[in-house]
Amino acid sequence: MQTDDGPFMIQIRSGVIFFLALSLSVLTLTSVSLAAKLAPPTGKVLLTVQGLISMTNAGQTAVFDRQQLSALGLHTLKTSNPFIKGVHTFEGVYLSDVLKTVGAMGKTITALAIDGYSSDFPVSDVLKYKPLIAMKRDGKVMRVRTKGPLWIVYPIDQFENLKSERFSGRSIWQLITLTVK
Amino acid sequence: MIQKLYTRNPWTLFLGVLTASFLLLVVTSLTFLKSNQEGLRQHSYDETGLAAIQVRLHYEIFLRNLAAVEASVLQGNVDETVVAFDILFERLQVLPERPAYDKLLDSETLALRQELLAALKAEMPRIDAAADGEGGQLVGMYQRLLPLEHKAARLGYRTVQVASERRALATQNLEEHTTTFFWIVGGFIVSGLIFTIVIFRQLKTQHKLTKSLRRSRDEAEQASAVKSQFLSHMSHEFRTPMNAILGFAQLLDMAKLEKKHQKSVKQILTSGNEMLSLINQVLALEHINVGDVKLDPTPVKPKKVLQECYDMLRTQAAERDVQVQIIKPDQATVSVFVTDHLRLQQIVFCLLSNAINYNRPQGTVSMFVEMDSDTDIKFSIQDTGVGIPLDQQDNVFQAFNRLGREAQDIQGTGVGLTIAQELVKLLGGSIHFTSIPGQGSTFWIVLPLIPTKNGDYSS
Repeated sequence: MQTDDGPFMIQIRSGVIFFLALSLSVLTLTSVSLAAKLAPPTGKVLLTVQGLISMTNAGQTAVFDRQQLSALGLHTLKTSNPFIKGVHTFEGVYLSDVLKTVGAMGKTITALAIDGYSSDFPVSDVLKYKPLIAMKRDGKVMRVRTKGPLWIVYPIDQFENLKSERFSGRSIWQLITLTVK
Repeated sequence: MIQKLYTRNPWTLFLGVLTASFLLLVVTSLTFLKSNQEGLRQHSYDETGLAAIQVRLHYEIFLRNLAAVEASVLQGNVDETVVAFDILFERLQVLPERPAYDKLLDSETLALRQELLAALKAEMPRIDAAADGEGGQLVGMYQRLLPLEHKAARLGYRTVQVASERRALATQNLEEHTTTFFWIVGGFIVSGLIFTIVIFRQLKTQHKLTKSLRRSRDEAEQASAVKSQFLSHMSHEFRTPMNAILGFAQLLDMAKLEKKHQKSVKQILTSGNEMLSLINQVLALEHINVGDVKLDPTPVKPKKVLQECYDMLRTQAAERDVQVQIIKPDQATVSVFVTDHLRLQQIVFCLLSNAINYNRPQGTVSMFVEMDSDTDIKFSIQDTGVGIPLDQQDNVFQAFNRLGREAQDIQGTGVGLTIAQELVKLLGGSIHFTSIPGQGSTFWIVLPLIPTKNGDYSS
């Protein structure tokens, strides 16, 4: 670059630099305000939500302990299930409530289980069938030994089409992570 | 006959039943096949024994974690091992509850599961202690659980084997049923085809038969018409010369002749009159048959008709020494009704003439008129004659049938009752009789009363 630029050119250049710096700081401020903070967990983390979310409390992810999940509002669902015999009463929070809380913005959810199994399903399913993230089965807290700590349970007795294999695959037990895409 | 041909052919019946049975079988096996296929489709998400393989996999993972713990008891290793145990335990615990596994697990695999589960349960207090921070509890567990590794492997292998056998069997069943189904369909098609051909041939035969019957009927009708026309013409042709014969015979009768010739002339007159009467009756019958009779309804007094007929036959009755009486009608009997006077007179005349002619000497004839119902009037003529033999009673109204009286000294043509019957039909009524051989006969006719405009039966 030549150094024989006139004072006018120098003025313009510093103006551009100033403008760029200004826009950068505005952008940073906006992004900080978009990713609002959730309260950090106090107990053992049961569920991690990551991906396209606007509310976080641990880096880029939102993590929940049992108390935080319960605070979203507990619901019960009495239904049969393709993996265990009989009708059981499940207690937990709506998956939709969790997505709302973290400000999920994607269209697909990937659910990951503790043993590495994962399954994708559309957000529209969550709104349509209202699956539960169950924490208790028949009043007992579920442990890893009993398909816990979390189990996505669909109300398959209410919707006949949920009895298909597709939805059996989406009823993930030993759930640990949700990724919004 | 057509009906017989159609329904009593045993082949048709057999083929019909066969085809219907095949159709029933087709429907049944189709339903069966469908349910079979649906059965195969259900539970298909784990028909392969995948979950049992996973048990084996998680056993390996658990063992590897235990081996890592043996190498160095770090809290990170301990936590992972506890989770690996929990996953393995959960898988093994719920295995028989999963759909399809009630069928996929046999006695061997169930025993293996039981053994593995017992071994894991025995370690559970130590696992729980390790989860609470006592990682040292896990030391030695690897050595205890390693010998069971091949049992976990066997559990997975055997379950997959059973699953594959089951699938093979189900597929084979489906194939067999499909083959049977196609045989049945084939049978249905063949039997249905033969049935159709047989029915088609029968219809063709029936059609031919109908056609030939119709032709025969047309020919018979034509022949009958020709015969009627011939008779009618001939009767006309006969009447003219007959009138001439009778006219000249009457002239001769009036002339003075020798006694011997007078007798001959009388004979000519009697025979001639009889012949003329026969010709007239045959002509009348033909007119009726051709439908050439026009009715002329007028008010008629029933009792007067009886009287008129008696008047006409009074001489004949006297000659045969038969007493005729007209029984006075009761109050309920209508005094006037509308019908064709001349035809009614013809009918009653015929019946009375028969009653007199076929009576015994010093016999009686009684004539009645009474109500048969509110809307029907009944005329009866009862005689005390020889009666009609039982075997002849069916042929009473048959034309030219004189019931075996041809040889007797009674004049007649055998057409009278036929004409009477036809005329009664024309008047809308019916004719009946009862007869006891040796005691006499009663003939009666029933005619409808036609209401007049005033609503009553007289005019």
